[in-house]
Amino acid sequence: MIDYDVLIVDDDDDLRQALFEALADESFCVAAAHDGAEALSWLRAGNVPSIVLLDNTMPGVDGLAFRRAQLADARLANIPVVLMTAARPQSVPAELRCEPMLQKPVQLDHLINLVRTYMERRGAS
Amino acid sequence: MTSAFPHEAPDLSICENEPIHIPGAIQPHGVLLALDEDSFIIEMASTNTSDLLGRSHTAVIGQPLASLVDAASLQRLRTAAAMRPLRRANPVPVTIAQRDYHATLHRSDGLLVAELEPASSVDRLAATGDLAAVVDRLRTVRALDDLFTAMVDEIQALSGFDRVMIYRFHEDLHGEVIAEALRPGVGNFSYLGLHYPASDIPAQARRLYTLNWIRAIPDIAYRPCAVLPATNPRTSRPLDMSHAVLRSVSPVHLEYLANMTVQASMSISIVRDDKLWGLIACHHATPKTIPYPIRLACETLACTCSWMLDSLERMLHTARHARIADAKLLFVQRLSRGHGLQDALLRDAPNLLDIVDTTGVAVRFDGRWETAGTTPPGEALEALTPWLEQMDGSVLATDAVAEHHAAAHGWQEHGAGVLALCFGKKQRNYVVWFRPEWVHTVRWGGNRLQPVWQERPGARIAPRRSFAAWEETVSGHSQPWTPYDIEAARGLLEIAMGEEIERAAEIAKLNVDLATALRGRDEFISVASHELKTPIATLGIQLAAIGRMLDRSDEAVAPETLREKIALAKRQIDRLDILVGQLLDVSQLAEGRTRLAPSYIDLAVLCREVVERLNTGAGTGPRIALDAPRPVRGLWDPFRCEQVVANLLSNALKYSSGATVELHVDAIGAAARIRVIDRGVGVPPEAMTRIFERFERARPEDHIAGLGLGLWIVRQIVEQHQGSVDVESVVGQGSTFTVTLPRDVQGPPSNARDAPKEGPRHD
Repeated sequence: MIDYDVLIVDDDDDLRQALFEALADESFCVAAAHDGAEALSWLRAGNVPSIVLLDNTMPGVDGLAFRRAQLADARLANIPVVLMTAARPQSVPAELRCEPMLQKPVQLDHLINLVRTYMERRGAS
Repeated sequence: MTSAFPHEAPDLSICENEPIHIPGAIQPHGVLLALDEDSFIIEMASTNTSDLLGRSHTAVIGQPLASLVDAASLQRLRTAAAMRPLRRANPVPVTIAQRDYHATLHRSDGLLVAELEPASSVDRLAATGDLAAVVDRLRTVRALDDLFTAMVDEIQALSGFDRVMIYRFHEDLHGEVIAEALRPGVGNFSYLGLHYPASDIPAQARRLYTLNWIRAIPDIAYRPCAVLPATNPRTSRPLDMSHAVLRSVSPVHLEYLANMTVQASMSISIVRDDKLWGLIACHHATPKTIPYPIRLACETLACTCSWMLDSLERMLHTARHARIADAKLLFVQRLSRGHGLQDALLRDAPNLLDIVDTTGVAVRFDGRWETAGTTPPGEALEALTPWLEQMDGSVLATDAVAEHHAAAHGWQEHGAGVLALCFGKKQRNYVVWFRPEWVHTVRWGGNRLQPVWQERPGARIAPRRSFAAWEETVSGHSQPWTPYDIEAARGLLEIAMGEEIERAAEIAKLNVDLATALRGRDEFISVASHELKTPIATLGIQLAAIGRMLDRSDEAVAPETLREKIALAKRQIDRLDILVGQLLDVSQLAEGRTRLAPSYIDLAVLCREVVERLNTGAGTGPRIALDAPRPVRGLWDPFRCEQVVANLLSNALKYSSGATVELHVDAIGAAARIRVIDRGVGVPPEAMTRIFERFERARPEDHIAGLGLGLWIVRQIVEQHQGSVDVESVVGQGSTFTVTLPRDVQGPPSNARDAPKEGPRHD
């Protein structure tokens, strides 16, 4: 079991790279996956992040499919997930919604604070 | 259909039930004998045999006819009885005790009935000569009014009656005198135009008149002469005299005639389609004998009148029918030339006003009213719609619309009468013809002993002078609609409905198309917003990261790191540039606002430059292999061609699953050919035409980045160059996109001077 701080799941190479480097510069322990399938297999391999930053629209296993699979799996269900979406919050299907949801483009400062909060929560429990 | 005329009087129920066909008596100007057909034995006889034949009826009943008539007459009678039809044999000349008679034969209740009327020398005068002249006159008649006038004139001249009229039955069975001829010198009171209630000629009289077409009363003051025995031994009922010439008539009728100071009368039926259309009524102020030949001539004329009525009406009907058919044809032509329905029906003559004889017409179609001629105003028309909606069937006709739709009182001068055709119930599409109010006076004649006239809406009754005529002023009604009008209106239905159905189908299709387009657009908007926001997000993160880097005072910023971050940021700007450019293109290409700026270029060079650009930016992605051994020169818009190549290549790269993408450029005859080959996921057969549509993906669930516009833009540009683009693909193996562009080169390339190498414009 390897602990991580953040898992970034997004199919856009540039955005993934930008997020990865920006968070790494803050000394977080960061991992990245380019779609839901890769993310699921990474998680099932025993890696546990404090928070997952999840993009909605990805080829293959998209945000919705990832969420379903995650919630159905007892080992993964409790991992906190933050959804990053370009769409308006109201148009996100109910089963996909998580607290909180971030609308693209996301603010880096806000993101950093969010990661810190979830790390502290995890540390506390 | 409302009637302007009073109800039948309850009072005359006696008359209605009076069995006038079995009066048990005859008028005494002739003798009635009823014979057994085989033995010619007299079984029934009128009691006036003694007056006319010299033998009392008791002496005659039970005797063979041979005992009365001479052998020759008997022979003639026997021959006549054998004739088929029997009436052809009439009249049969018969001699009894040296006096000559006309015998009229008919069969009734199993007996052969012979009615004998004294012949006079007058009869010998051949009426036939006159008849020929009359027929000649009738032959030239072309209008109904002329027919009626000719008829009464000729019958008056032939018969010598004081007054001869044509009495016509209206739909509700009341009658009107529509033609009249007076014997010269008779006085000037005219019955012309008088109306008589239906009860004046009760139902059983009308029935009889349809069976037996002529009846005469030479003297209304006659004393009825009984026919004995009172009951026919064969039937135990009185003899049915429906067909008897001498039949004694109802005392009510005699009184009626007396009230009109008529002492002798004759009437002949005008029958059309087995229905009583009217009567030729003859009146005389003093008793008058009507010899048989005259009766026959008049009856013949009346028959002629029936036939001519038929053929004249048919002629008019045919002429009218042809006019309407022509108008309908023209409507169809106008419709097929693209005129709107209301335009086609209303604008120029001939129009709907030629289909039905009116002064105004309105058409409701697609929720709007359009009119021609004089009609009620717009709001009034729309207010009419709820009433029209209640229409049962396709056609509604009333000559007094205000009785059904109170608001119509306000516009009666334009349209007291309404004829409406519904050609689209759900859409509430109507054609409405209007007839103006026809205020007129109806003069009523008739039996003074009659009933109380009930007040009806629109009627004001006042007695007129001393004669038995009442004047009724009828308002709120138009001229009534004829069955022809209704038929003409109905005939329009197929045209209007055809259009209606087509229109409905069109609208349905447009709705479907609209829904599809809206869905596509909405999907596109959500895809577009995602595609645009992602590079903006990256840009934001990158700049914020750079800012934080600079703010951290604990480490020095490595220039190389900074440069890399800035490069990533700049790449997003390029991405946005392309996306926004595509959006602008789409809007311009869709509206046809782009114009090509062709110049003489080499496609091979252009492709090389595009490939270089894409290859350097790709990083670790799949690469593009270019195969362009020879120059491919032609007249094309370089900017647009670059778009085509770039879009095809980036499309291939996206779907190539990592394998190398090939770009082949060569010339095939008079055209240039560009092929982009990838070994990617491929395009399923059902999606092959769809992918060139706007906002389309081969597999929308794939969430592949991009707006889905690339291929559509390619197609638009290629088609603007008069070229074509196709795809061949196998799912799972890859696709080949082929663009063919005609060269448009003047003169063979080898003779041309080396054309300047023109690269694509960079804005």
